[in-house]
Amino acid sequence: MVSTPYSETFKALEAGRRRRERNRLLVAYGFLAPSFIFFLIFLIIPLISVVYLSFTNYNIVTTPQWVGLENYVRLFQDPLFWRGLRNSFIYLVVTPILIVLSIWLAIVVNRKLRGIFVFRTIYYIPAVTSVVAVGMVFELVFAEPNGLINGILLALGVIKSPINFLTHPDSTLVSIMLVTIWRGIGFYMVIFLAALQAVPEELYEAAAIDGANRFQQHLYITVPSIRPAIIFVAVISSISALKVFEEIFVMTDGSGGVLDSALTLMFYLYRQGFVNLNAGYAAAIAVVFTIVTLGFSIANLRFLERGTRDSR
Amino acid sequence: MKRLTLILLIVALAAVVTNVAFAQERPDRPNRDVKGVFWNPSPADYARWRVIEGVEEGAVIRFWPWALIPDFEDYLNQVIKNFEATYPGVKVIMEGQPAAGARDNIRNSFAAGNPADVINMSDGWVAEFAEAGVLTNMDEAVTAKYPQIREEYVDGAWNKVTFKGASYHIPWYLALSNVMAVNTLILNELGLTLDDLPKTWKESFAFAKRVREQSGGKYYLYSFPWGELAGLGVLNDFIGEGIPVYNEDRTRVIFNTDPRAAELVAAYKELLDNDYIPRASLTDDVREMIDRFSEGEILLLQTGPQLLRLVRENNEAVYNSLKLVNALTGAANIRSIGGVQTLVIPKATKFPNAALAFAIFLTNADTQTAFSREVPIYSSNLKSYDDPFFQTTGTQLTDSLRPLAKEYFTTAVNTDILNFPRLAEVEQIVLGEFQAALLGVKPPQQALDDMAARINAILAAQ
Repeated sequence: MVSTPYSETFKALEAGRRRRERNRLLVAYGFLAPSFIFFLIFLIIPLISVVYLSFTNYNIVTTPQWVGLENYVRLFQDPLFWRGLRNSFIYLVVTPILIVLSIWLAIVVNRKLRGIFVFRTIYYIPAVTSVVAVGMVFELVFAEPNGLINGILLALGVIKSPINFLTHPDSTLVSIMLVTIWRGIGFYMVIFLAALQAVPEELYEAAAIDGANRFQQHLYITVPSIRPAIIFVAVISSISALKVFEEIFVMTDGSGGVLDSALTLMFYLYRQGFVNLNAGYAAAIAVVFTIVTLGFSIANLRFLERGTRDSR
Repeated sequence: MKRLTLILLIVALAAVVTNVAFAQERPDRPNRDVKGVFWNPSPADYARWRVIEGVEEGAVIRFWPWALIPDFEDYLNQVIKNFEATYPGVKVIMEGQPAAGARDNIRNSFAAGNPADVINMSDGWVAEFAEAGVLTNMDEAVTAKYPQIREEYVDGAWNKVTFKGASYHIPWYLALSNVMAVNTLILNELGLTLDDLPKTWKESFAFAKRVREQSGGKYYLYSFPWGELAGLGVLNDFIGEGIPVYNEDRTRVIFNTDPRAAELVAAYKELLDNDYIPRASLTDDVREMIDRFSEGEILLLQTGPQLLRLVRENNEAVYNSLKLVNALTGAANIRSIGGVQTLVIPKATKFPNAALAFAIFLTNADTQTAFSREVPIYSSNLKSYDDPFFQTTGTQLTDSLRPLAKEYFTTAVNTDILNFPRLAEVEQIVLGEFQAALLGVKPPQQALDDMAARINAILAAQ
């Protein structure tokens, strides 16, 4: 084949294009590399390690020993694992409560009033307060017989004996859930506030002309308009609820509550891994927990997105 | 100008010298002897303190004290200064551990392969690490090589925790467990005297009811630290009552076969059910129990005298009203070695001799006597008690206990020491079944039977 000036030019152009493409790729991968290495070290490798450790007997201080599926067999026969799973799902009750309360609070503070930012800031403070400080304060609030709530109710004669917020197995988890709700409202309020400010005012004006009251306006205009924010909050708050740990650790002094009444799956994972030094078993809990959380989140997302499509 | 500069220099120098001289004086440490050998050592003292051979030249060792920083930072800095002068070329880096979470920090440091070279821990934690095979065997490192040093220590403290017959710790400071504090403000308000107080746990159960009723529900006799940190608490109560915990060859626990065990648990349940003790006892740890006592609603506090400083920090009025009396005793009337703070050395330390030298230095007679002058703790080194300080009393609440300490520690015994494999799991079993009995989920006898069966399953698996 005889090369022509035309084909030479074409080849030269092609070579130049390939060089530019290669350089472009190099630059792109160069920018991606740091975060990929970061991900590799702090996510991918630990993830693989956890899966590997879940098949071993490992006490943290000595070398892991391969035991196959033994940890998983033991896990499904362990009543505390099931209690932890049950309590984790009970904890999910905080999600709808958080959504409703934080939407309500966002509506309340979504007004053009002088000094409204003060209230917005105050409501947001719990979200930026250390969970340890919050836990310690709420231990005093729930203390008996002379904590803040018991002291006031006893003094007013509303109750005759103190409420056992943290010393009764039936109330410990609920008391801690109240703290989570208190901490979370301000954070989610900000998300809903941002969504609310994107809702056109004319829609409310039109609804008002049509005779809709305030509640109907929020039900038929606000809620559908901020649906993406609701989906987002529902997913992240339910994941947070499933993996709750800090509040439980602080408010039960690391015990999981009387009779393990506030023991969630995440807390059980901590206890097995770092208290009992059964890191292999804890890794098996982590794997199951990840699968459960992932499955729940996908189902949650599908359900909520289906609602969005249906409402269109 | 030159004169002014000179004056300023003299003033500055005087300020530095004065500060150095008086830095050691502290009004809250009235027993501190700033002219003594610890705060003012001579080269002869350094030579006398140098007892360990083969200390690695140029060693840098890390030391983890537990719950002592910042309260005793100046004391520990002086320890390190004296040590570094005794063993020139060795450097100590102190990394104080807070009261909460220290056990986890220690575990994590071993997991990461980076534990400190000398670690201070509660005696209750030692077995876990000894069992994991990560600690230096002190009977090999000290008893075999330096028998004269081993003899200096209180025997019961050295053997407080053993694993397969060997000790893996060096005992540091001790607490007297035979005293309790009385809030005389409450005592006077109720028209009672010290002589009216119960002497035994059994007597105290009826007295708890009396205090509650006589005060119209305002005061409690005592509260308990039955929360997570209580660990093996109720098993120790059984020992105090003379209930055997183990069978003869210590291969099984048998406390559940003695009816007195269920009776004791039933008595605790009755206290709780009738509000004769604060319900928060279920979840309190020792610090929370002390806080509760400091609020001025509890008559008696059973704790080591060294922790009474927490009462003073919380509520000076209550502290000033305190009187110390003999602690409540069980039916067995055991004089036991109480809590022992220990020093352990990881087996994998790069500087075993330097670490050992530091642990021995920290627990030598002079260093520990100086510590006893800081706070009412008691030396694990018997030679400390030759110091006149331990023969005299002073003006502080706990000073009256000093002359009694040596006799107590040399006659106190370790009866039926509780050693378990997988200690954390055993602690959870004990706490869980104990709570089940207290809350009426199970009858006391059934809870004890279940507790024993679960512990025996762990013992059998070893």
